[in-house]
Amino acid sequence: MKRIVSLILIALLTLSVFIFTGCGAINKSEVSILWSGDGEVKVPNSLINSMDRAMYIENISYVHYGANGDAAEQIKQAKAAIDKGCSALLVELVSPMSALEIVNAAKEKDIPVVFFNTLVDKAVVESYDKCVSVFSAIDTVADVQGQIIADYVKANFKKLDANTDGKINYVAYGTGVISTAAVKKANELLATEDYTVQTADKKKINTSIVFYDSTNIFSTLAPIAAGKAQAEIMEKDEKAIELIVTESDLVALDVLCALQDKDYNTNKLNTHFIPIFTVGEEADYKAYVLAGRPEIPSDLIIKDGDSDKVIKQKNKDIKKIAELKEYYEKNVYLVDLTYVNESELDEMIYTTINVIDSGRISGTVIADNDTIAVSVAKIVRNFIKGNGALDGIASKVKDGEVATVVVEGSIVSVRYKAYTK
Amino acid sequence: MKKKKILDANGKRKFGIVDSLAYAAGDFGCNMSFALKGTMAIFWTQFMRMDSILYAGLLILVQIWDAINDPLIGTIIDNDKKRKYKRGKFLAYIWLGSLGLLVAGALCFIPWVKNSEPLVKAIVFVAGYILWDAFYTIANVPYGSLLSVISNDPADRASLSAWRSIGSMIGNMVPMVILPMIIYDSNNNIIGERVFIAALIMGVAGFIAFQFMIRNTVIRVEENVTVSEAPQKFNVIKAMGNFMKNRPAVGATVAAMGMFIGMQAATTAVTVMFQSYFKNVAISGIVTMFAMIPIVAFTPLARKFVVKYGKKELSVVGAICSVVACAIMLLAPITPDGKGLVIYILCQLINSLGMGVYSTVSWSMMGDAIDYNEWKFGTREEGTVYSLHSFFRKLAQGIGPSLALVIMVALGYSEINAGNQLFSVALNMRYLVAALYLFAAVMQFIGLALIYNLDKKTLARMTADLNALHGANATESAENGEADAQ
Repeated sequence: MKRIVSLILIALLTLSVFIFTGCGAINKSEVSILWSGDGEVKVPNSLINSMDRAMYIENISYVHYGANGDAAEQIKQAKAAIDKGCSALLVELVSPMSALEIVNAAKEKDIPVVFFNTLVDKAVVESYDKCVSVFSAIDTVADVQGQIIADYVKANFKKLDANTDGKINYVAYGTGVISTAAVKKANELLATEDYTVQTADKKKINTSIVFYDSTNIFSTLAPIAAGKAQAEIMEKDEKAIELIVTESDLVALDVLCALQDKDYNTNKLNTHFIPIFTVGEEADYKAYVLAGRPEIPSDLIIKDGDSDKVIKQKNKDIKKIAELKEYYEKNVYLVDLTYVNESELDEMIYTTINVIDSGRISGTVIADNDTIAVSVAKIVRNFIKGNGALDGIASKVKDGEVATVVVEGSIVSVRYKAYTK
Repeated sequence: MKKKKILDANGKRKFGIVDSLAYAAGDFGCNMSFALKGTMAIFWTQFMRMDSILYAGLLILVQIWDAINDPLIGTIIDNDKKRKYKRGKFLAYIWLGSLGLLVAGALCFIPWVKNSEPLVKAIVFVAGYILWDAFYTIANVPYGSLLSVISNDPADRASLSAWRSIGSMIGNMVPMVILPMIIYDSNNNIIGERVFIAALIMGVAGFIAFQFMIRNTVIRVEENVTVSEAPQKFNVIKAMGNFMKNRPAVGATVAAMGMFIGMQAATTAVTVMFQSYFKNVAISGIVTMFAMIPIVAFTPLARKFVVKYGKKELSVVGAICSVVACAIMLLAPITPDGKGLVIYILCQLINSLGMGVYSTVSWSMMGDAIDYNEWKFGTREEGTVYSLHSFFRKLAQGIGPSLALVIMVALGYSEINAGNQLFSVALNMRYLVAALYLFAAVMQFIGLALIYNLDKKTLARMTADLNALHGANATESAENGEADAQ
């Protein structure tokens, strides 16, 4: 008996020695992860949550920093992390214009930089041999966004065509890389028979999306500047813009604020609205959208002396608000879905392609956060261990997988399967 | 030619494989109803959207009902000595319970009140649970007591205990493996309607198993054993006192509580760990089944090992294995990928081997504890000893999951996030699972090694004494009978 017990114990101890080998993080100094938002993990369906998981699997110690949409603050954080001697710098950029400054600072100290979830100029990435960019494949994202824009225009043409000229005037904020491709895709679809629209005088036409001002489309990359530019446009002519395209949710939210200052895109009854099509980076919509949930305004409360007609109207409006409120609570997050089961609807708040109208954000999930995060973590592991940065990163197309990873030079693209509505 | 039945000295069918199969079918039936209990927390918090703390509170509330229900039914059965039943009182009660369990399991998973007010949901939960629990107890308490009246031979009892474990294991394993593949969607979220249908199907399967057991069980030991000549007055407080003095019963109960804390309290945390940490809840059943392999391998050898080494000695070694495996599980770098999963499975393999050794002899140990009561205090009190054991086991099953759920909430678990918790929370669940298993293993060790005192030698002495006593009583009764006849 004693022999059996001692044999079992020896086996268990051997197993534990085997298991415990390799404990402890692989990096001596921390990896700094710089986020465009607040850098806090709030919801499961978010890239930051996936990053936590991926870094844990690779056994990398790290710290999150949030720039709260402030590009200058992010550069400051990057420089502080570099001065501290971080093992690697992972950056989700607030503004693509900050990329070069961050790369140059890191280069001086020989610290690897991985940009992720942001569109970065290829030349900037290639200027430093320890710089990599991981982003959703632009053509896939643009394809999805283009189709959503076309579908949206077809369904809402009469409301959108504020100046009734048969065309939709749009403005774009960002680098223009995604928005140009998305608008091109949308126009290709709108030119087909399936996408004919009906004008106010009931004529069937093929509409198109056109630049509001071709000289002033891509000048604003930072959120605050975009908001300011939109405010200026609204000041000049409220009906000049009928559709907005941005490449970042942070930019979209600043633009939304500018519209709301002019009483557009609010959650009030019969609000004017200009849809904003955007690519998501920021997961935390929940608080924003719920804060904007419609409430019954005090002027709808029935007062003494109200005529029967007024009471009837007020009751009707209250009912409408109640319905709207119910709709918000049920459909606040998503309208169009890709790779999302209906059962997920209540929970899914991370969106990649979004449409913002009437204070409501809807969107299409195409991002596989885990694929992006795992790619980033593996690249960091490779840098720390002195392997080739992109060794083992590319993946082959497999059935049942949402995304595949393609490596071209220093650019890692996460490609998604075709958008299906 | 009709096969001739082999009868024993009392004219009853000789103990054999049919008895063991029938007894195993009984626990299979119980588990068809009980196995879904582990899904209740996930169903009520993630699908029905009941607040986790409210659920934990309600679970404690229904355990209070359990606390009243268990000894009550145990006492009713013990005191039911006058009425005559065709198949004996234990089987009659089991039949009644099995009838209720046909649908009672499904009553705990009514999905149509999902969008109702919290109060309505709370009422539906409590009512469903109480009904299920009542029928479960009516079937389960006499089922546990049945072991000691099927045979008084320690080897037969060990065999029954081992077969009970097999019945329990199959009853646990089938739903454990199949259910996660059916009741969760591809995003690891539970589908409530499917749980309800599964509960109904399992109710029918359980009913069939109970009927098989009832028809094939032979009672060989008198159900209402009266050792002293004058009928004793039943006293619950005294019985409780005796129970607390009954070291084997207390030891086996502490060990069982440990085992159930490990198996039941950790269930919800294990599910959440597979949902959010390994991100594959469908595989959880297969992993658990894989971990059961050592128990399956050990069960046929149980009787041989018990005869050679003794029940206590064997289960203490098992408990040591569990403690070491769970300590490794807690400290090892189990990452949320394939590598981590392999380490987790290895640890579970050793842990379940340890737990399995005890599980195969646990009921037999309780049978011995009932004998110990008679040996030390002159009364058998099967129903009371078993129901008190059952009460403490249920306490572990009830308080354990409630407490575990409260700890889970404290560690960040949010029912709103359903099958997709934050990674930090998922990581906490991974550690909580290991900690709960370790706690369970330590409790098992304490119960078996430090409290349970029937080692191989003492058990042999006790059996000899009791056999001598029963023999003397039988002779005395026979002589009295002859005298009366003259």
